[in-house]
Formats: sequence, structure tokens, C-alpha cells
Amino acid sequence: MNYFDYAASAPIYPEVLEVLSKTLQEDFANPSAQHILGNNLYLRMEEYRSSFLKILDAKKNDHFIFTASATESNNTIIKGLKLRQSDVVLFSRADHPSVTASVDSLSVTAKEIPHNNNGTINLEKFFRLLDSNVKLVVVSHVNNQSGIINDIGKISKMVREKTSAHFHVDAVQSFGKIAFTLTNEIDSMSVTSHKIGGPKGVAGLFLKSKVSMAPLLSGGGQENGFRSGSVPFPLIAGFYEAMKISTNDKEAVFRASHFNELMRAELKKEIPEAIFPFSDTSPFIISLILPGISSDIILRHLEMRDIYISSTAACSAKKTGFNPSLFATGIEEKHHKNFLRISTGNLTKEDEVKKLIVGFASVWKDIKHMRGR
Amino acid sequence: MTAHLIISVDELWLKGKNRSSYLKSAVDHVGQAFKTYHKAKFSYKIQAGRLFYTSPVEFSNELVNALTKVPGLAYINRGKMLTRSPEDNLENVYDEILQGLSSFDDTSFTFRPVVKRIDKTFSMTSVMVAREIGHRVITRFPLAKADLKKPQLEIDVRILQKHVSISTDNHKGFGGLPWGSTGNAVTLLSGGFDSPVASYLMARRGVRQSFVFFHAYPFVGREVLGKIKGLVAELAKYQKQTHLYIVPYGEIQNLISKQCREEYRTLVFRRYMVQIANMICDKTNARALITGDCMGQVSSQTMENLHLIDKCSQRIILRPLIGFTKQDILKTATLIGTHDISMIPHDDACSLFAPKNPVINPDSEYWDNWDKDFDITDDLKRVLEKTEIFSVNMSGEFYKKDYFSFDG
Repeated sequence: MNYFDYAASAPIYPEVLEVLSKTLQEDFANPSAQHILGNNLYLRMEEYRSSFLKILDAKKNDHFIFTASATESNNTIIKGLKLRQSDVVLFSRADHPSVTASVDSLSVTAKEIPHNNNGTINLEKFFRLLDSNVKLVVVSHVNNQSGIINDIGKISKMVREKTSAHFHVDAVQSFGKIAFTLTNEIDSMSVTSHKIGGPKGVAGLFLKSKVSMAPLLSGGGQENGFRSGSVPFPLIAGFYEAMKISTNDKEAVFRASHFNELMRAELKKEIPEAIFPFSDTSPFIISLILPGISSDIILRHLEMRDIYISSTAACSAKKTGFNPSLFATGIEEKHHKNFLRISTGNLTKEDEVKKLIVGFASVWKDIKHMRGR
Repeated sequence: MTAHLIISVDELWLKGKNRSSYLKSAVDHVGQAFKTYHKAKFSYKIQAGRLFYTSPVEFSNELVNALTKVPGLAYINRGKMLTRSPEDNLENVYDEILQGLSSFDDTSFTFRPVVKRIDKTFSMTSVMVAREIGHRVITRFPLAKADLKKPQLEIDVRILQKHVSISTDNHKGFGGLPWGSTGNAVTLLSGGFDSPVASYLMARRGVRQSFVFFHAYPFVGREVLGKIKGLVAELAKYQKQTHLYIVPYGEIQNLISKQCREEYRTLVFRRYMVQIANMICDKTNARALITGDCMGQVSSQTMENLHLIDKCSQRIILRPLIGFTKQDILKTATLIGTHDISMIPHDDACSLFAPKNPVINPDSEYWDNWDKDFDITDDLKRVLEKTEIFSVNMSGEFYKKDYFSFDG
């Protein structure tokens, strides 16, 4: 199998699987239980929690809340700040639906962060949007479709300079992949397990100690009351293991850059028509436009060759394929149907990359005569 | 109490020598419905072209619904058989009738008692009994109204030697001819509105059918298969059992579109669909193809183009919708429950490959000589070997998957 959809979900590390298999069997007790079994799990869980805070370079008394998904993490913070109608929220249409749909569900004054034609945030215009009415700013570290890296350091300083707003970062596509420092200006951050080789069903929300936030889920008051519900200890153990492996693999980002350059160069050679719309992206994500052929057709031709990539939602020949997220990053509407995403991860091997290039070339040769239909 | 079900068979009066084999087909198909929907004991007899079923357990609505889709049946009549009381009055019969109508409490309805006195020694005449039933129903249900011409409900009572049969539950059957009595065919499904209606109409004429769908994967996704299975699940209810063949056709379409004059593309696609369908016929001993073609509806359905397609088929192509309007088709599709399934949007390879100006007056020389320098017989065989075959029972369940094989 030649898997290039890590940005959607990564294969699980064998070591993580081992941990999971052991802990699922042995650590069945409820960490909230009063007996020694529960106490022990609780202590181990708190150790894991400190490790997450440490890896993020956070303060000891900050929170790291375990949630079930990054979608939950984003919803929790965006809805939990209890903003009022007159409060301004700045967010980007290019971001993941768990951000945009959460903001859309609020009765607040939502304003979209403007982008440059190359997909990056237009910092000048962004700066002009900042004033004392802004109460929440949401930015992705790495955009999930384009792979564009936003300069969190610069953006967070701008936010602090002009406002006292809560600054939330969606770091799902960068956590465990691209090293970055948690600046003092970041108030909360979403991360997840399954994009870095951990199990699905567990994620995290970093929250600065001073922030007051209403919980999304009420109940037994677990996670300091921020997130009720029995804590899935085995999943957390798996998440911790995946985080450890990913962050220890210091070479991964260099391998990814090498693969990235190789694929861009070779694909351009094999398919001169190919457009790579973004530069300065995460090395783990390549966006690609093959004009004239619907991306889902390419995707299925590749899957017949055991190569798996991602297209923006399946497009029916009758639908226009308009994609608000691509639109926000400056991709012309006529190309939305032709947009493909190749994403790699720490387990990607060079021979897979070569197979992808060969596969792409042969698919293109086979069906390029259909362009424009 | 004994539950009973009386089924009368349609069009039997038309049949001379074939009468018994037609009846047998109908009985077999009805038997399959009982096997599927009536788990309790039952017995039956055939009398004067009518089938009488009795059981200690009531016959369910599911069974009756299934029977209304069995081709060749005229009426299905569900009711009960009561023993005549020792006093030989009909009190128990009246009680049972009123009881059977209890769901009509507080609703207005029209009815008509139909009474037949088979045992002429019974003391009351049919008219007297009918009048008594009418009186009791109106007394018990103040909103009920007798209507002798077009009642919503017929209360059917037959006074027999030892029993009285009553029924308030009559269903019109599907009609036409029994399953398989006129032959075996392969129906080409597209996912649109037309072909399911064509299948339905030919089922009513007693044609046993298998279904074939040409799946343009990888040019279209797998979502469409859910829709096709949904359609076959509905159409299977008119068959005693059936099969769905899913032919992976994208590869062939790509091959053709590289070779063929653009304006002929759709026509050539259809040519090989018909050819593959004929190969499936070889395997299933089918003697005809069924399509949803409708005269002039799209460019491939001009008289000339239909003729060219006919020339490529070793078997007759039945086109029951040829003279239908779209409105007729949609109306029937709604009636048989395929309309809303057909409406689900899906990627359509035909529109993807569709020529800008499809040929309307084809050049028959180009057509006739087409396969002289384009032989894809091996490709067609290869594609058939990758064809999935689903077995579907009369409740529309897909219970088995095989692959096509030229052997055996």
C-alpha cells in the first residue's frame, strides 16, 4: 500500500499498537475510581498530561484537557468563551469546518481574516481588523488543505499589541510534525492523536491557566470540570506514546522536505500541466491542481494502483465543486474540482514516493485525453 | 378460527393448453412468498383457478404486500373462516366483522357488504344477511356510510356448508402473467428513471429477469452502487429471485473514447453494453434484453440509432417504454417506489464522456466496419471476469456475492 493521506489520518505506529493492546487489557479501571487501581491510572495520566505540557513548553499550572477529537477541542474553546453579540471574532474561511462551523453557530460579530493571493494571511489587512472589540482570534498553524504555515509568532504579537482577545491556534496539522514554540500570547491550542500515528478518539486542548471557559459537556466533572465523561485512559496512553515517537523523530521533517521536493520536481516533469498553487507550506502537505480532470477521477485511478491521496469532496459532473476553504486561500473556482492533496508522515518511505510518481505519470497518460469534459 | 387467503390468478382464461404450466408458475412464486413471510403452518388447495390458503395463524400484512407484487395474480383476499354456530345464526360472524373494523373507530368510511350463499339451505337469503351486516355496522360505527357503487371497503361474506368465510381485506393483485412464464431476459439498468419502469412492465408480462449495471469506475465512484442496489431491491419484489451483475466498464469506455469518432462515442458505448449483456444472456439462457429506451428521448434513441444497436444484438431488445411520455414514466416510477431512488444524484459517466454533438443520422458504413479494426473481445471477456454477481431474494435482500465465470 502506498499511503499519502496522512493529513486525514496516519497509520498507527507499531509501538503504539503494542501499548494499546497492553493497556486496553490491563488498565480497564476508571481513573476517577477511589481504589488503588483507579488511583494508579490517575497518577499515570497526570504524568502524561505533564509531558504534553512540557513538550508544548507550557507552564506547569496550565491545562491540557483530553478530548475525543480536535473537532471537540475547537468547539469547546470557541463556544466555551461565552462571547456576546457585540464581541468580534476573527477567523479564516480557509480553516477546518470545526472552526468555521463553530464560529458560524455563535451569535457574535464574526469577521473573516483576509488572505493574500498566495493563500497566506494578509497580515496588513489582518492588523487593521484588530481593535478592542475583538474578543477571539482563531488561526491554524498549518492549513489542512493547502499546507500553508501561518506565522503564529508574528500574528500572536499583533493580536496582543492591539487587543486583549483570546488567541486560539488549531495546531492539528503541525503538532508532532513541525517544531514550534508556544509563545506566551497563545491562550489555547487544539492537537490530535490520529494524525501522528496514535489512536482515533482522543485529542487535546491546551488551555492557559488564566482562561475561564464553560465546558461543552457537563457531568462528573472530570478534567477539572472542563470536560466531563469517563477518561479513556488507554487511548491517552496511546496518544502519549505517539507524541513521544513523533517528537523524538527529529529527522522526519527533513525526510518530508526531501520527499516534497522530489515529488514536486518529478511530477512537474511527468505532468507539465500540473499546478502547485502554494509555496512555503508544511513539507508534509503538497497541493496539486490537474486542470481539466475532476480530482475524484484521478483519486480513483490512483487507488486502482494502490496509491491513496485525497481530493476535495467528491464532485459530481453536475456540481460546480465550489469549496469555500479553497476560495479563501485564493484558488480560482474553476480549479476547485481539480484540487488534490498529497500528504506524507513519519512512516512514509522513499520507494512509496517513487511509486506515487510513476503511478501519477501513468494515470495522466491514460486519461489526459479527457481533459475539459 | 382459521385464517384464510384466497388468491385468484389473472388472465388464466386466455390460456388454453398452457393453463396448467402457468398456474404452476404462479403457485411456485406464491409458495416462495409464503416461505419468506409466513413462518407458521399452512395448507392450500387449488379450485377453479383460485388458490385457497388456510392457516391457524393470521396471514401478515408483509405477506399480503409481497403477494400484491407477484405477477399473474388478480386478487388477494384475506379473511377468516368461522365455523357455523350450532344455533345456525350468524352472531359470531357479525361480531367478527365488527371486531375487524375496530380500527375505523372515529373515522368515516364507506362500505358495501357482498354476501354469497353457497349453501342454499341456509335460512336467510344473501340480501337479508347483507342488510343485517349493514345495519349492525352503521349502528356500531356512526360515521360509516353504505356505498354500493364505489365503497372504500368491501365486507365479503360467504356462507359455506359448515363454515362462513368473511373478509374485509381485499387487494388487487399485480396482474399479468406468472413469473418466467414468457421467458428469461437481462435488464440493463442505468440508475435513471426509465429502466426500472421498463423492468416492472416486463415483469407484469411474466418475464423473469436478471439485472446488469455498467459501472464506469474509476471514472465514477462507488456511491452509485448503493443506488443501483436500492433499485434492484425494489424490482426484485416482482421476481421470485434475481441477480444483479455489476460490470466494471470504465476501462472499456476509456479504450473506446481514445479510438472512436467523438460523435459516435455514446453509441459505441451502448454497442458494447449490448454485447456484454448478450454474453450474460449466453450464461443465463436468457432470450431477450430489456432497456428503458424511449423513442427520441435522447440522441441515442433516434430510430436510426436504435436500429444500429439492434443490429449488434443477437437477441431481441424489448423496449416497453418506447411510446411512453416522460410523465407516464415518472408516474409509474412513483407508483412502484423507484422514483425517489432514481432521483438521488450520481456521477454519470455518460455525461462525462458525452460528445458535444452526438450523431443523429449515423453513417452505417462507419458503424458496420467499426469492429473490423477494433477488436476488444478479449477486453470484454476480461471485464466480465471481474463482474460481480449479487443474488437477491424476493424481499430485496442481497444474500450472496460471486464473480462471473465462463466455465460451468
